[in-house]
Amino acid sequence: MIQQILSGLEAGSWYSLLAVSIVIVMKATDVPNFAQAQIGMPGSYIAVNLIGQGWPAIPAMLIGLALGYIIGALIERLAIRPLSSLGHFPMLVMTIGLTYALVSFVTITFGSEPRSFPAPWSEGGWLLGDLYIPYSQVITILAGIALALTLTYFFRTTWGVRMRAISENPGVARLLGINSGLVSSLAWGLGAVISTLAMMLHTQATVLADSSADPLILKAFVAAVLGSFTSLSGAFIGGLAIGILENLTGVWIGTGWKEAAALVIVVVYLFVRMPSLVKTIKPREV
Amino acid sequence: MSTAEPIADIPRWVSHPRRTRRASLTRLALLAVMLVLPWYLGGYYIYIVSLVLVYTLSTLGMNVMVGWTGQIGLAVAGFFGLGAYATSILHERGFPWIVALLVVGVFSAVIGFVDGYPAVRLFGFFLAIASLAFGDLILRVIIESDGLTGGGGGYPVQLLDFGGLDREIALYYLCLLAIVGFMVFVGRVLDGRLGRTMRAVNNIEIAAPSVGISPPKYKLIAFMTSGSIAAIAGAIFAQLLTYLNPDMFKTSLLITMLVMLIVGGVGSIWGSFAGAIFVVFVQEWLQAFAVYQRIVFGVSLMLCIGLLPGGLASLGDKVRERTSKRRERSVGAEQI
Repeated sequence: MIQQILSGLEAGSWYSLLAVSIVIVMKATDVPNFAQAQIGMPGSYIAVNLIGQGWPAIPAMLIGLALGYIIGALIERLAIRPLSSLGHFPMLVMTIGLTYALVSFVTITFGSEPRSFPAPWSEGGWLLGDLYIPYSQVITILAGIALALTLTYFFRTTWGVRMRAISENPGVARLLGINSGLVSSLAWGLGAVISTLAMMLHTQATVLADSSADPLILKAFVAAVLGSFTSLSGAFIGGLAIGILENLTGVWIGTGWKEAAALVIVVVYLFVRMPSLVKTIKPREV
Repeated sequence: MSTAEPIADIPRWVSHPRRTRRASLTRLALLAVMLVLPWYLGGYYIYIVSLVLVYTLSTLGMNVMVGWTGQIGLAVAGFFGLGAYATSILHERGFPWIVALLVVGVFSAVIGFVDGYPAVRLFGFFLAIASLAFGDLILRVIIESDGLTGGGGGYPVQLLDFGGLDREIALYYLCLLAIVGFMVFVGRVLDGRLGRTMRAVNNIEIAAPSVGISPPKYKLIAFMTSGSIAAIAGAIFAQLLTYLNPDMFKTSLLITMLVMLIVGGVGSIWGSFAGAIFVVFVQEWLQAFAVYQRIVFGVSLMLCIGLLPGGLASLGDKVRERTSKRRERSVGAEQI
């Protein structure tokens, strides 16, 4: 049972990190980014390649994260900013197209055979009675918590306030002299760094392959929904909750239904919360 | 009680297929060509054209929801799979295929109701995510009911018995019949009062209740119609493919359908047709290179959103607009 909860927290941390980056991007640029998990892939591949060439793990991962920032900022500049006036649906479709483009780019550049991501903590763990806790689980969970705390702090700084101001009312924010382009670039870069980290943590526990991102994105979106796409802490806790519930479903009902847990959660949640969500709609101009 | 009577007519600013005599002549000519096509094409090409028709039908199902009422419903791949599996299973258990198809068509509308009743009150991409999850859930149920569906191992479809007819040609005519049936449905219903009301719900949702239209009701109708059409397309798809596997109906199918819808043109019937041709062409052309297929699909989605929001269907209008502008300019020049 505790074992299951721990692995749930581990998987939940991946979802949480991705959900948090979805919320950041959503807050600053109002784009539901379906490619958030895939954006983390090139950085993870670079890190694996560098480790394969004999680099120590930490610097290799840092370079991967830096590459993640560049990719995020580039995508924002080339594909998102020119289209920022379109609504949610076109942008959602746009980012769905982006997932295909990114995954095939990665497959062509790095090949399609799955690889392992060797981190120093990938092997070994503590044995407590009949409970086995791998180091990687602890690292993943701690990394998630550390990042959540850092982000909470970040959104209280000037940059965080600017970002929130842009998402609240872009027009007024611009009048007050906030450089919205810079803020949106920063949000995409930051989101991409967090996604790269999530992908790295995910792939060092499993394998790195061209399909590694696919199972994560829907659950990350579900977690973001649980935070109503605005609350970072809501998204974070939502991600952890999904991870745990998923693993418990695997034990109680059957491993096959594990994948369905998040789907049931979001369908039920949206349909139950529906009235309160409807109330928050602001009427648009006709 | 007829308080929910829709407004008599909505002005023609809702984009509306021009129903001129020339257009109907074009349709008739196209139908004639489609009818004689099997005499000129080999077996493989007949299969390809049938596939295009089935994809067109499923995309039209999606289009009813996205194009007519403006809801981002993404459960369509799930309904497609539901139709494929349910019809084949009923057929195997001894139901005549056409009866199975009708039963499944109605059943999918009911499932569409279950999905839609709460979902139509959601807005924007909350609806997208709810319906995406719902579609995935349908697929999960298909995978887990392996006693019925063979689960991940796949399911050989009981083939339709066409008597002595050539199977490929008979299937082609079946697809054609389904499409023609849908076109008639479009002409009668979606271009008629119901369709106009749906478009009104899309365009002026806030104003609609004040003229006695209940947006959720019409959105729900769109949900049910869309689910039903997608399931019927899926049932024919199963006969074409003769073997089913849950992997066929995963998110990649949904993305393929989105490509057909967006590249073809949201809200346009010819657009769905053009999108299906585009997708089948790319799939056959790059058959051995799944990666390049994905690049083409991904990039074409992005380009369409950015540069051609009306999709291929809007190309004709764009060209016409440009030439008429040029003509105006040259007329102006003459006057000077």
